[in-house]
Amino acid sequence: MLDRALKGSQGYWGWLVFLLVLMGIGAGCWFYQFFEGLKITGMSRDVSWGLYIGQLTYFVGVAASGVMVVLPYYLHDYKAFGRITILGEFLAVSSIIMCLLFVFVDLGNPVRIMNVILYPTPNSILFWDMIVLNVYMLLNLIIGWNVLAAERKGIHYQKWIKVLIYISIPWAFSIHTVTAFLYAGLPGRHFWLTSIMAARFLSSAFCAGPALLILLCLIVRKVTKFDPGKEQIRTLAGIVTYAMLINVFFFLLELFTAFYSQIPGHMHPFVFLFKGLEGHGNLVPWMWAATVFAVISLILLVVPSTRRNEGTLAVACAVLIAATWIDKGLGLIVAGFTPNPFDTVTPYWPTTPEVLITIGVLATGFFVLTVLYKVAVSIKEEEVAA
Amino acid sequence: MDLAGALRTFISEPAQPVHGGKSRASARRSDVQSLPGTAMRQGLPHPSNLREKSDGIVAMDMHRCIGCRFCMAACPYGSRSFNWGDPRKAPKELNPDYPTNMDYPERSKGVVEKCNFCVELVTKGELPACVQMCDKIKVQALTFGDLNDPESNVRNLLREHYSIRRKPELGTGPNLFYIV
Repeated sequence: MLDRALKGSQGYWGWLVFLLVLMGIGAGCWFYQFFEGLKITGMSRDVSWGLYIGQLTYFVGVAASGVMVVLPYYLHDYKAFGRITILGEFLAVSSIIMCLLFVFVDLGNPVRIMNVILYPTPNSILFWDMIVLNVYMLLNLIIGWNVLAAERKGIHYQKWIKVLIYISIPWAFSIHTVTAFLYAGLPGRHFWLTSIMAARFLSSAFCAGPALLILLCLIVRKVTKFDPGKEQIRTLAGIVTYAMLINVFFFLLELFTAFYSQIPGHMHPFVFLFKGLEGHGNLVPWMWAATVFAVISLILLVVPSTRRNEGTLAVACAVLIAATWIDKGLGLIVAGFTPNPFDTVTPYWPTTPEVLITIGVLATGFFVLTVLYKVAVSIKEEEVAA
Repeated sequence: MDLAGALRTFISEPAQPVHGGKSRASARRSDVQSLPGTAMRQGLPHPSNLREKSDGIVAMDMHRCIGCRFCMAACPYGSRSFNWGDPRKAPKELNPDYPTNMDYPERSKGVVEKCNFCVELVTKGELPACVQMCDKIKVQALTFGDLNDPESNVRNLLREHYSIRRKPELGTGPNLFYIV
């Protein structure tokens, strides 16, 4: 099966080489970080997590959203999604690879990473996050690969795969719940200490992930002979719409609690994000951009004619991804640390090497995604031809 | 104790150290920086925070810490710091007034540090460095002693003065008291 990734057009190879260059630059910066320490990043005592952990959070969501195509197909027998479950599963695999790499590059002592397993601490959420992420990746890889292999041979996949599929469905919810628990159980961080965190994470995941999947489907249709299907994209668009509405609703609930109660600790992170606090407001333009993007995406998604038009749907998905990324990949972490426990603001902005390492990890994920999609799409193309 | 001259006096808990006698284990909570409820329980993907049962001080195992900084996010007091770079590289010229402590294990980059009441001194029966320094410069701003001993210096101070603790509502039971 993997041999299909070795035969491709010039565009395919060009894209892979481009990603390899970005990976190389990222790896170089990572070695610099390895020898100098994390001081080359923008993080500090007060904002001790930054862009890396933000990306971890965002891509756990993208990974979990694979279930939005798996669940309707296997639990509701929604046949149309049978064509694209493999795309959802392989998107989950490459997202988890990114997540694990983002944790890895964030560690101060990466050579000791095996301590997490050698000296397990079940009372730490990070330990459980490591477990659920790795298992979810393996589940999706095994399921996707075996179902695809069976499809290639024109036979039904084996029965034990079905068991794994049923396990993978609640497991998808668990990975993002556990990731939310990383934040939602920490005393003294008002922005994170909220029981709606896991629900908010899932809703933003189930709009951002399928939105990315829609864009990927449109790209696959354009560059290959395999068409993921009009109905499939239309159903995904419906899922994205509902999830985004719920996501925005949950966010407004947070605003209500913070500002109606007028508790300063609850209001300050939001004030920091949208207005600036103590003269520090480097995220303000980003958060307002995210707000505008969210509104645009919702208008395009809720109005039936623009949702059904694939051109405007693509725009809606792109701005939705931007809005949710700013909210979760950037604002969530920094605002959680702001103001610090001494009620002052320490600004954070990622440094150039930090950004390049982040891009390197993203490139690695998209490299894996491209190779996996190439295998899957090649087999689908052969089916179409046969 | 010259309270008039001191805006803040902080007192901390661990037992007056070992002195050949038995160490006093009890239901005592540990010190402020080491939050038995939070950093200890939630913060760590692996047991790099050691809790010395004898005196309640929470120390770090810097040979095991992977540097994920979860404990820093978990600490509601902002009391933890991280070696973003190599701590050995930091000062170009060493300040002779602050000589390198040869008794203390080598620090490295990429691990979290915290106040551990100078556990290496306390074990030898000395006071934490900050308390010693205060005594040396005759500013008795800091007092260190055993909260479990009803007749200890710290218990006497707490009996005689109003004191506050940071964020007691979080239930972390910090044993660092500020006399007001």
